[in-house]
Amino acid sequence: MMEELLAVFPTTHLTLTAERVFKDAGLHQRTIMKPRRISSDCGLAIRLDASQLKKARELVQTADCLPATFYQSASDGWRPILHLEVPVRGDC
Amino acid sequence: MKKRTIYLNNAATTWPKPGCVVDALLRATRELAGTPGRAVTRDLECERAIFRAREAAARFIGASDSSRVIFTPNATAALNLAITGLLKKGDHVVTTSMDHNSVARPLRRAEEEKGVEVQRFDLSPAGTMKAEGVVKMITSHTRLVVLTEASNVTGSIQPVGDIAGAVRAMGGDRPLILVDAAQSAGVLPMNVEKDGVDLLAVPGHKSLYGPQGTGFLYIAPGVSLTPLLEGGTGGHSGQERQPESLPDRFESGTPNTPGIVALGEALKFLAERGLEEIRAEEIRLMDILTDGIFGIRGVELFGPRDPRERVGVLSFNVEGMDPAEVGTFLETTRGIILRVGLHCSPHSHRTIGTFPEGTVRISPGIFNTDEEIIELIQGVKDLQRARGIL
Repeated sequence: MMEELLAVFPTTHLTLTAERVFKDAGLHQRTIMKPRRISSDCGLAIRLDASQLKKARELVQTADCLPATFYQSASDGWRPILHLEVPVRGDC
Repeated sequence: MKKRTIYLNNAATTWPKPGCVVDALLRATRELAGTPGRAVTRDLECERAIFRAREAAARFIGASDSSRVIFTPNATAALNLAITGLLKKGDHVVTTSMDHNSVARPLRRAEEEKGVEVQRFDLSPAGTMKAEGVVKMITSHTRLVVLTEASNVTGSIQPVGDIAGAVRAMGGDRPLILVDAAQSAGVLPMNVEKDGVDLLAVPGHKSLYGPQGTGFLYIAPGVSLTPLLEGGTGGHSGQERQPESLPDRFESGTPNTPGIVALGEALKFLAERGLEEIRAEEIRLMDILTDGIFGIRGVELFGPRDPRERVGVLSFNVEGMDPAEVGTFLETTRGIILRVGLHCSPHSHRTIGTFPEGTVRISPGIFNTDEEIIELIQGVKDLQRARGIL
């Protein structure tokens, strides 16, 4: 089974910005409900093939869709593998 | 048979709306039944549709970060959020004598309840001004300068770019610039980042040709406002306090999804038509209108004579007549729909000397024709003939 990634952002606005950026770059993706084990927020997350991590990382940094956390699928759920931190875009 | 009407009240709300806007409103009502931000699969389409509209609105005003576009029910709500959400005790505000009640009333409450000091710059009786006058009123305590980019009574245009530029040049603790774009958005070009505008209030249902119940507020980076509404935002649900992140901080509750989606379609319509073309057509119609009305005996025009110095709004009065009587005559004889009275802007009417009676206001839109403007002029001439003036 191919390993999968989950890209998680703190707001729906950032998630949809990333969705657009990934789509424009031709990444294979699917926006889903954020799993409850990752967050209690009733938000969204983007599912990607694990092979797209490098490209996805570049894109979120270039497009300023930060902060972002990438999770990888594991036997017991989702395991965080990368966190990209900057001040939340749009904060007052 | 349905009586023909000539709609010349576009400063209140534009009508008709473009077909694509009406279609989008219906389609969204029929098909987008989800709740944005709540992220069940069906809601995603709602969320994406609102996101696209937000991006379109940001592009339209020259904002690079669309999360700083906050959807509101109208420009009034946007102005209230900006004014009430910003001002604190001890602040000083400079506004102008052409402001609408949606600026004047929240400012009055801030005076009474927070001890904010409000100073109003008096414009000329034509409703025009020079940037220096406003800039000279700024003190070290001035927190906010409120500009009405175009008057809803005379249509006169305020030099927003010049004033914002002068304020920006003050650096450091400079005041913020709030622009009420109720009459200018969709007609005059806007670029908040280039012009140095900190807060921009825009109605969706006037010259953007979106549906009623839509509008937005742009908030520049570094500007901190207190939300006027708190509640569910679809995210950060575990935290008790309102989230800091935008746009969620200012958009609690189920939004007007069909309206916002249709507003996005309206912005696309405007982009395809081109703002320059819209403005050129407006100037052309206003030229016919001012020339036609100007020569009628016993009729007084208000505001600048040159259509390039005003948006598509013109006020006039007929000597010896109540504006309401003039409006009734034009509506009953020719089916002309316009607006009479104070137009929710008593300060403007005091400025041009027409308080408390007000004026007759004509405001064409992009769907009006030369023939309709000429019919209005004929209607005013009929009135004066009937009164034995002509």
